Amino acid sequence: MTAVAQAGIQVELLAGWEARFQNNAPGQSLAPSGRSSNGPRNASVTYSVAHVANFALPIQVSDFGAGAVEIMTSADIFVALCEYGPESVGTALFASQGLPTIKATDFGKQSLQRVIEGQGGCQKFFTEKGRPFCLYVVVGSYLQRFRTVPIINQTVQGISII
Amino acid sequence: MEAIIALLAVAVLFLGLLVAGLLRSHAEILRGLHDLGVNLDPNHDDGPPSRHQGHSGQPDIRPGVPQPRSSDTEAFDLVGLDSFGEVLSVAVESTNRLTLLAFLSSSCLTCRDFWKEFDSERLNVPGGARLVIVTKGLEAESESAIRNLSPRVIQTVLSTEAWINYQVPVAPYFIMVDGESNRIVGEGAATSWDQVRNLMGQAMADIGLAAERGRKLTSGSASQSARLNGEARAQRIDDELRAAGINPGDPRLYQQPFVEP
Repeated sequence: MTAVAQAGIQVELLAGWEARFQNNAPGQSLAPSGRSSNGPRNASVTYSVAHVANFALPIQVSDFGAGAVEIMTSADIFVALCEYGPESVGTALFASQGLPTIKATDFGKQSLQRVIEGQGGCQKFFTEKGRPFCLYVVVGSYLQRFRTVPIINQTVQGISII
Repeated sequence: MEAIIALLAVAVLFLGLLVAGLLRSHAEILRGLHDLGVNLDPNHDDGPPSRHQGHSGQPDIRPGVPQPRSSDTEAFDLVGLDSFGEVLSVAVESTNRLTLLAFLSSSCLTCRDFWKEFDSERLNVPGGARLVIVTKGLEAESESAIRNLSPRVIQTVLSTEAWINYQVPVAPYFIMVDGESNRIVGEGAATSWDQVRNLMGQAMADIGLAAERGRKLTSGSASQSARLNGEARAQRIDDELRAAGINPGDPRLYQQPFVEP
């Protein structure tokens, strides 16, 4: 099993999956200005971002998957773990503690940052080790989400904040 | 006096032609012996291999030329940094696609052409494979140089580990991996993208592999054509001959076909 880590986020990958990290933290950014960061609605700047997918991630992917979700097939899954600034700790949105478990009912066709026919998305906010995160998942097929949810949870279980 | 000089000139010319003919004949004999596996070089320590060795499938490797890879060499996922210093992993094994790994360096002159070529948005990759550039890590490469050279649409991975795992002998070097079978289907060094395309296209044809957009084709005319001309065809013929009691070396394999008068 391949494991990768950056900025205190470790991801153990399932076979055939890949991951990529991005650091948007103010003053710590390694990314050039060319790398966009389109956060969720009314969101502040995201800090560390981890993208995990079971398909070939294109080179330009924004925090919440723009650039990648457009090429997804029905079997594809995209997971983004986006960290928020310390000002978000203790807020109601991030009150949930620990990495979440995803349910098929969490997905919605309109819960997508970018609505694409056939796809489904879900978004969970939580705090882990004092760091606020958003876990954003896109499935290539909303109809097949009952089949893909166990795989998504396996992937989420492979993520640890260290 | 003039007649003697003319006669001597003719004799010298004749002898010159004779010597040239003998040298050519000698060279042809040496080449023939070499093709049969006999090496007459006095510096050759291993002694001349027998004819049997020459047909055993083990090629005679010249010094400096890498040994052929074992056919069961595994594929590996890539783990390293991108050209902005961010950690990433690229899935190569256990995928349902072809991946073409381009092992390049920022300093080699031949690689420069590939860096430039890969910046083209209309790059035609054999089988539509996913192209990934792999350079050595930061201990051997300049991050700024790699960042300047990296194409906009093709992933670059800095990973010395990948060079070691894939036993890359030189740069530029190309390895095509079939992620479904976790098998290396083609590899080699080349000096131009056309050479790489020919090399990989031939390697895919040799094993009867047809692919489009990086996915193996399992049906359709392209797939059938590849199967009929590739490894599977050779295997099927071998199986049929064995079933008929005709094994390798059987004299019937070398007989002229019977032709009706």
